[in-house]
Amino acid sequence: MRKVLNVRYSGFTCLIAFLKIALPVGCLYLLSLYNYLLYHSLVELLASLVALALFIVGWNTRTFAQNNLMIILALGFLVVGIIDLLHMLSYKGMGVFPQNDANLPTQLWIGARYVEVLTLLCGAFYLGKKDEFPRPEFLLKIFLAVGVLLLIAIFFNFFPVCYLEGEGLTVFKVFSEYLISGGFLLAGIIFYKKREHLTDKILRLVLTALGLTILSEMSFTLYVDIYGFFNFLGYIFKFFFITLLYRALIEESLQNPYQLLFKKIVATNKDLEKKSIELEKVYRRLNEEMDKARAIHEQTLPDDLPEIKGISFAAHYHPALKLGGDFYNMRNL
Amino acid sequence: MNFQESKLTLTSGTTIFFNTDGLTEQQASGVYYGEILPKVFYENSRLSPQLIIRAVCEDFRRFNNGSLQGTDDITCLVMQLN
Repeated sequence: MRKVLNVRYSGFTCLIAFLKIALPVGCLYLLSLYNYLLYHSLVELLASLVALALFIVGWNTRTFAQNNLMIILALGFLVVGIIDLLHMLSYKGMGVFPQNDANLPTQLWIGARYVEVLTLLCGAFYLGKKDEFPRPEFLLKIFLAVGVLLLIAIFFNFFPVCYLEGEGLTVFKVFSEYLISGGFLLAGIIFYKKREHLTDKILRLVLTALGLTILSEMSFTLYVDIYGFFNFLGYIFKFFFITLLYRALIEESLQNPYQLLFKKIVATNKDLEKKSIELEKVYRRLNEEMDKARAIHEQTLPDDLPEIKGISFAAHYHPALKLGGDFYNMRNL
Repeated sequence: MNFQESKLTLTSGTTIFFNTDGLTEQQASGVYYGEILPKVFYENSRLSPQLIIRAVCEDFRRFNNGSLQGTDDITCLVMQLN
């Protein structure tokens, strides 16, 4: 009975999972047919927003973070988000920048991907190394410097050409995509090897996100026209990558710390309860010992004072706590 | 502890009050009971030892907010020559 229910349930979840993917893909595809520029802008805008959210949340929760992965991701994605935003604005047809060709957006894209892969490699490298971790304020400066240098290189034409009008993608651009994909793969392997520092859920999210981003890079090596199908596919993968990243961020930075905190509180409570029971036991035993000692002490005090002709006595004894240290007696010499 | 032995000739009717420091060093509102004890003892010294003890105890209880228990052990003893 239970098995049947499970099968039905898993069938239902499969359907939900399929719809979760098919529905956004369908909508985005229709959107890209209607206006490709709008499709591209929306996906990139979403990516930049998530990157910014990642930065805001990761940066402000840095003191409570259970591991430093989120801080590195936060800083790296701040730079990635800014470059992605510029990439979106410089896209062919946007008309924001004077060079209205496909080279500038492609250069910005590749630049952002290099920062992204370095961020993930850095995060993978520092995962679980809490002691050697540099100060977040210092890291922020490093990341910002990298971003500024990259933008200077791109806007002042030091950056290699990525797209030639009429010829398509340059060798540098395609090679870079392979190099970046290799970097993502390496980061994925390191994350998997260090999985004891991550919850299963986060590991799954991160690995899937890395897989999607590699697929996205691969698609971007294939397109000739930046309005073509493989370009569309690349942004679809990017869209899912962003959603996963967002979920990982919320799980790791917001929900998990509280869960961990809660778990710790419960554990401490249990520990305290155990200690209190132990203390009570010790107290009870001490009390018994004390009663025994008291009985012994009282036995040493005289019940009756000696009757001596011509002299009368009276005594009073009251111990301070349970066990007293006063002794008295009368003796006829 | 080193106690010195000495002899004392007491006349009939002598009453001696012995006590441990728990009684005289008990404090209430900044006053040691040792400052009050002599007066109580002199007032009641003509009574029998049992009654002297009872009088001191009652007085101490009033002084000590209704309790016979002090911060230290309290022992007192009265010896009276008939």
